[in-house]
Amino acid sequence: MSPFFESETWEQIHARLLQDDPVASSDLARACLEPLRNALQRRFPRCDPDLVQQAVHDAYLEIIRKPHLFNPQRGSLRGYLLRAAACDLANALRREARHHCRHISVELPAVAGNLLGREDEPSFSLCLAEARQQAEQRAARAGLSPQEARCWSLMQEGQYRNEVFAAVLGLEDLHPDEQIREVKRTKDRIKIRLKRAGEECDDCT
Amino acid sequence: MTALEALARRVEDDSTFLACLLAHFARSERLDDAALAERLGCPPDQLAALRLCRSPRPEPNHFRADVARIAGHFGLDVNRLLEAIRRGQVLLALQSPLPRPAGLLAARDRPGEDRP
Repeated sequence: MSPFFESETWEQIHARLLQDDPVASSDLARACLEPLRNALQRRFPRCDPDLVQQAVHDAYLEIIRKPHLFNPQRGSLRGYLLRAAACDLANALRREARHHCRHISVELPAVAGNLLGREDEPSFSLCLAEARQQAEQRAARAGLSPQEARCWSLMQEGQYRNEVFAAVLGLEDLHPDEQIREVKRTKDRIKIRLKRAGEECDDCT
Repeated sequence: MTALEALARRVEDDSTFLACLLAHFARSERLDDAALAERLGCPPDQLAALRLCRSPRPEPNHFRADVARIAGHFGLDVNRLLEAIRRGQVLLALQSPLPRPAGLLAARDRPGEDRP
């Protein structure tokens, strides 16, 4: 078998997907699954590896079913898939945390000792909190402002909605077009400063 | 199980992927992974990658080209792959529910007609 995928960029494989090449889906899987899983596990270090893998698989399946959703002019496929997987994972963790919280309140009284936020709680919310803490530490090392640090944390969770970033940056009063430009400027600034500080920046690739 | 193998297993019910057709074929022949790989002439460690190919498009001109492309990419005998895919397609079609008729029609006597 020709290892085409090893010498091709992910964007080139994506172009083959758009051309209905039947082996492109296989080549993309071989190229992207492991790197995405490793990158996502680094962002959510305490998260169950199976959940991480599922989020990566979901992101992969989405691009296979709807390859036109990715526009190579707007960034790298790696960044796109990583954001999608991180978003899926963060949402799954929030869902599990809510479910777990309800479950505990019904089944385990406080005296049993299993409370949210304590170290004996096998919590999904802790995974999220730890990922945020890690992002904030990296932001602090890069000298980002608190607002920029919050934006960075959201980027790490795969958040993509412009209005969320605009709210964090206090830009709600601006015209939507101006909000988009200002949010983009801020994200670009964050990435550059993280790079300069020598911090790993998956979204920068 | 590698990430690739786990994904190939996960998409066995998804007819977008060759995994689905190969799973039907393998079940009909009672083949495990090693036997399926042998039947297709595929190295066992490439089976997951093969399963993650897209299923051939159904239009006759595309179908042949897609099967040939997959066989060529993995160095497989095109006829063996074709047989497995065709069988998989037939079994998948048999398993799919038949379309239900839009409505049922029943005969009714006209007013005044004698019943037999």
